[in-house]
Amino acid sequence: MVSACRFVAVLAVWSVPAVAVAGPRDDLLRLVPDDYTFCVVVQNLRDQAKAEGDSSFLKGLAESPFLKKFQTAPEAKKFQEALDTLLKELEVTPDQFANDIFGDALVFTYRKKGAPGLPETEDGLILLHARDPKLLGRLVERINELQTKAGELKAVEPVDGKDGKYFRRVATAKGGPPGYYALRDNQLLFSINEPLLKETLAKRAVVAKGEPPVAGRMKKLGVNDSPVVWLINPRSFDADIEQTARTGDGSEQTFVKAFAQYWKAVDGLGVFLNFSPAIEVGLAVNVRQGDLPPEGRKFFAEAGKRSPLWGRVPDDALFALVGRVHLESMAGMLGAFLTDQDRRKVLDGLADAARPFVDRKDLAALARGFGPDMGFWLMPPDPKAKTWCPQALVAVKVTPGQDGQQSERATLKGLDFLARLACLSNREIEVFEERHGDVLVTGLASATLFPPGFRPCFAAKGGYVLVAGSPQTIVAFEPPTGEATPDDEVPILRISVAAWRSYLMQHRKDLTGFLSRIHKTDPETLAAQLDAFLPVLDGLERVELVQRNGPDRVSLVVRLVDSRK
Amino acid sequence: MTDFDPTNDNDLSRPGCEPGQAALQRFLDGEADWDTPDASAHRAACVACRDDLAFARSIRQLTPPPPPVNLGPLLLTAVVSDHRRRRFVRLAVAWAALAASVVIAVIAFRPSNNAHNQPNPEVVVAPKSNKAPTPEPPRPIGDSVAEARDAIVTLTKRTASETRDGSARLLVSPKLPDLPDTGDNLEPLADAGSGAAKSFEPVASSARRAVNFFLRPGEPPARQND
Repeated sequence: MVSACRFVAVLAVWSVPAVAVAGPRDDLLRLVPDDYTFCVVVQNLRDQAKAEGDSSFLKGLAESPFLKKFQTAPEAKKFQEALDTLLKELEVTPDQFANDIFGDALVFTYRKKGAPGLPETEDGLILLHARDPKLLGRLVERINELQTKAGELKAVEPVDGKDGKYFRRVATAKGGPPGYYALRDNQLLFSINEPLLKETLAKRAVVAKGEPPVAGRMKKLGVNDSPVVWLINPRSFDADIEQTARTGDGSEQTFVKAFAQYWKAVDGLGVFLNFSPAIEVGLAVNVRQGDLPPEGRKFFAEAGKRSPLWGRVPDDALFALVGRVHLESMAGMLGAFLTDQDRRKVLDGLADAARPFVDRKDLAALARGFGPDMGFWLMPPDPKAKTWCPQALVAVKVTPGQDGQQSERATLKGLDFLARLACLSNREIEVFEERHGDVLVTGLASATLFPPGFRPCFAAKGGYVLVAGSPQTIVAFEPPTGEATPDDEVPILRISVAAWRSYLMQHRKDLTGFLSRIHKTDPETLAAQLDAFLPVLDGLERVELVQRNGPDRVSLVVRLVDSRK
Repeated sequence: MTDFDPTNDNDLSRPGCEPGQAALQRFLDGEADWDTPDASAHRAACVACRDDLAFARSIRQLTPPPPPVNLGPLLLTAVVSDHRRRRFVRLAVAWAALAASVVIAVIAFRPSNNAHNQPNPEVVVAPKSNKAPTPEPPRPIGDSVAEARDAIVTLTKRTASETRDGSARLLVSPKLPDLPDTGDNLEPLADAGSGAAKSFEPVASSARRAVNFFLRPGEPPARQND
């Protein structure tokens, strides 16, 4: 059963199959010790596998020449053989294994014990709810039988416990530590720690009512339906973090103390994976916002609003990173992680770097004068512009008032200085100034050094400081007029795979020519690599990083959006 | 195929560029006979060394007369910044490739939907206790699982390294202007990084222990002692 433990762990991850509903899962979650450290919940994979089967991205990826190459590799063959051997020995089919054994719910729970600084003691539990209890029983029997024949198990001894019969697996010297398991209806409960198994059986014998605490935590984290969730109990680490804060040296100690303040406000953490309606990987955090330091509260409150700049990002932008960064609260928040001496040192460094443009005493005004809306996006070239070079734009909002005006002046002065310095450093670069209405655009041009259509420039326009790849981009930018609004889901980053696909197909020749000059390689080789890579992107519309907000909850989620859904 | 090593710093000095770099240093030191036929021939074939020399010349024009003693650190800062940028790009590509390879591994080895749709085999015969003994003892289950795991690990590494190498050729490492020199004033930020690592260490070490706790006992005995 020791091998079974590992076997369950490996194959549950690599096979993509089945469960259903909170019933079987909650029956297992009721058995999780309250003082767990980590708890991994795998659920509902059977339905998720069906949804995944509809994904055009995954289908395209599986069929792409890029992946086919690896599917026929010797390692892949070896894996397939090892898997086939294993299933044959266990006398189950992949379908039974995926749907009837692991289709419902599987829970791993790990608990660490012991005072900080001392060696940890630990125990763990594997809980499985199988759809087919007979098959589960046979599988356990078969594992025992195979291990006995292979000389890993000496005996499987029934034990009459207070809460019913369970089994002790007595391992031989080469078989590792003993294990204990019990079969109850559709459930398999396994631990290498006998007291923990007894404790679990005792818990199971009590008729429980209401929602199990772990299920409640999953709901609060917004991951109740996620097929794979790794829950972290923050309280399990409080003592360790306090201990670290007491023993570290100056800088580290200050950091850990500030970190502990944020950690204490965290009630739960979960890393999750979703397959449907889109593939998502995310980190969810339950945090008591009232217990956060004021700077942190302000920073996260602003970050939770949708920036009006998103309204200016074209749908076909190749890449976009837009957010609300409240610089003053961010500086305060980060400053709390440094000692007074270190904070002064960093400020000295920044003031020194910025001294050509801004007085040290005005440095704080810079933090107040910009933001919180800021963004960077990259667009495919205008088809009329006869260039293959994508167009980029950086936009930073200037706050109304004196601080904003001062910051804008200092920034334009700094950018102007850098442009002229670049001109001085290379005779092939020229500085240009163009006036478009009220907007003065200053930039650099070079017929020999820059790709066609690339004329980096900057300007102040409509309350924003802009840096762009060409004056046309600045001219086309219309400053947003709306306000930032709190939203359940706030986009942070978006990569349009569809736009990249189209761009790469359209400008393949120019791009590979440019890259081959840089990398000193053959353009045809690069083109062949692009051709091999493009089918991988088939079926994928975009990749997004979003922030989901809920009551005392924030989640950061990376999402792959399928184009045909 | 060599394994990715983000700590490999050997591109800092650009192997093969020694003649160009030595001449550049002599130029910066203000030596009259700074150039040599070797260096000149090398520059003819090396864009990076030509760029470095052009940059050094422009600095001289910008700030005449240049105090040579300050230019060494300036050049070093420029080279180190460039190196850090390239290293960042390499790391980013490596992580992206690794993430991609995990997705690939999951997709490549998931049970096929065809298999799911097939009807179950009519009977799966449970072993009977009085079954005749097989001539040879079966292989321990742990061995099969270990083999499967090793194959996946090797394949994942291979996918990551091949994807990384391929992607790196499709990326540009732009030469951006260097940030102003802030001396060692930003060092506390590096110390903060180690503070962050220390803060997360209890979670990270427990996670490692948890993984070992569930996976290690099932290792074949020979591996448990590795």
